[in-house]
Order: sequence, then structure tokens, then C-alpha cells
Amino acid sequence: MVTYLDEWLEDRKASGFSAVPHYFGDGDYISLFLSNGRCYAKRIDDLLTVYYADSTGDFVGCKIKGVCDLLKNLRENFKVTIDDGGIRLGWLFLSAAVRSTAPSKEKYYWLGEHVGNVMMAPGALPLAA
Amino acid sequence: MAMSADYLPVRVDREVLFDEEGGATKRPSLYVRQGVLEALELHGPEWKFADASLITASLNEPIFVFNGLNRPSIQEGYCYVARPSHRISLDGQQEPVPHDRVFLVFVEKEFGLVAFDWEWRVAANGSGRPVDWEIDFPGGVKWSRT
Repeated sequence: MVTYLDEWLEDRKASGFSAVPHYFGDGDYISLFLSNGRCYAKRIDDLLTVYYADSTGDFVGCKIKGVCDLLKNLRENFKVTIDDGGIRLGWLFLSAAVRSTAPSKEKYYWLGEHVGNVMMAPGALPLAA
Repeated sequence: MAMSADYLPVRVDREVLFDEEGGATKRPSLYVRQGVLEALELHGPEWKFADASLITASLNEPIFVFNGLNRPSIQEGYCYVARPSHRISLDGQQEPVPHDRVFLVFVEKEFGLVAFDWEWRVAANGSGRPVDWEIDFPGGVKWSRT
């Protein structure tokens, strides 16, 4: 029997919030939310979207797209590998920054400074990228 | 690509892009990956999981569909833009959507159309288009309600 989306969602509610990055294979992106509050998105370029809080306009997270390509760039051009699947987001910002132009390049540097130390959990990324 | 049991079909009356009818007797053509929803259910943010309930209506009744997502790894993708009147607040109550927001659902064409992400953006001058839509979606408007 087919379960439709609306049926699956019935009576379900998110059980909590954790400010950790997640990789989604469909869409090949990582999202990081630092806050549980509502926010809106602003696309910076083809690899980056940034989230701002509805209530304050402050930065509350980001979405890094094309993760497989960014990892490939790190591996082939910088010899940066991720043997256990774990990586600091700063490496991905660097990988995106080297192929971007101003003003989005500055946004990658800003993100590197503010959330570059955030770690992806081991095993969360596609190692074969 | 074969359809996995990991995908939840979205109930559609008529798929606007390909003019395909939905309903119980037809093979559904729109899906959401269950794993994405399960990750949001477990880790949040809570609003994003709650807003998954807006996907069905948004895919059934968009105001615009933009062609191409202008991002790597997506060969054929579309962005459905809708303007729901209400959404669920963190305390579980219905709240009105701010007048300058639109809801975007990103889909990739695989075995059907698979919704893989959704978010709110600022609307451009009350048009129902998100700001910077000309830059973000260089493929332009694929479908429009009007």
C-alpha cells in the first residue's frame, strides 16, 4: 500500500534541534542551521545559500551545494582527502572560494572565519566523490 | 532510474509541468525522499520539518515554476514557487505567512520529480517571484499560473 507524503507527516513533529551539519545525497548538499528559529534564504551563487533569521536578520546557517565537486577539487588539486568521512566545513568553503569571484568570494572567507571549524560527522559524506 | 521504496509519493491532482494526472489509479510522479524527512524529524530545524506539510499544496498549486537550478550535480531541475497563506509555528499553531515571503520547493527529475529541499525567500515587489530570480534561475519561467 502506498503511503503518501501527507499521510506520513500526519501527527509527526520534529523531536528536537541540533546545530550540526547534514549531508543530503539528493541534491548533493550540506545544510547547517545554527538556530531552530524561522529564517529565509538568500542564494549567494551556484554553490552557496545563506540563511538569515526572520526575527533579527542575523546569519543563522548556510547550504553548500555541489559537495561532490568540491571534495573532488580538494582531492585532485590540493591533495586533501577525507579518509573517515569527517571534514571541517572550512575546507569546503576554501574549495568553493578558489573558483568563485567577488563578491561571493568574500562570503566564503566570512563563513570560513565564523563556521569553518564546524565538523561533518565521520561517515556523513560520500567518500567516492 | 528505478524508484526506491525510500521515496514518499506526493498526492497530485494534476502535475502542472507535464500535464500528468495523479490520483489513486495513476502512478505518482512527484516524490520526497523519506530519509530527508527523517533527518529533519530527528535534528530539525523544527520549522523545516513542519513546512514539509506545505510541499503537497505547493507542488499542486504553484504560482511559478522556474526552469533549471543553476547548480552542480543537478542535470534537470525545477523550482516550484508557492505562496501559502499559513504555516505552522514552533508551538504548533497556525500562523500567517509574512506578506513578503514565498515558499520554494526544489525538485530534480529522476524516475519522477523528486523534491529534495525547500525554503523561504523574500518575494520581489509582490510579484510572487523570489528576489534575484533572474540570476538564480537563468532558465527562466517554465510555468506560470497566469
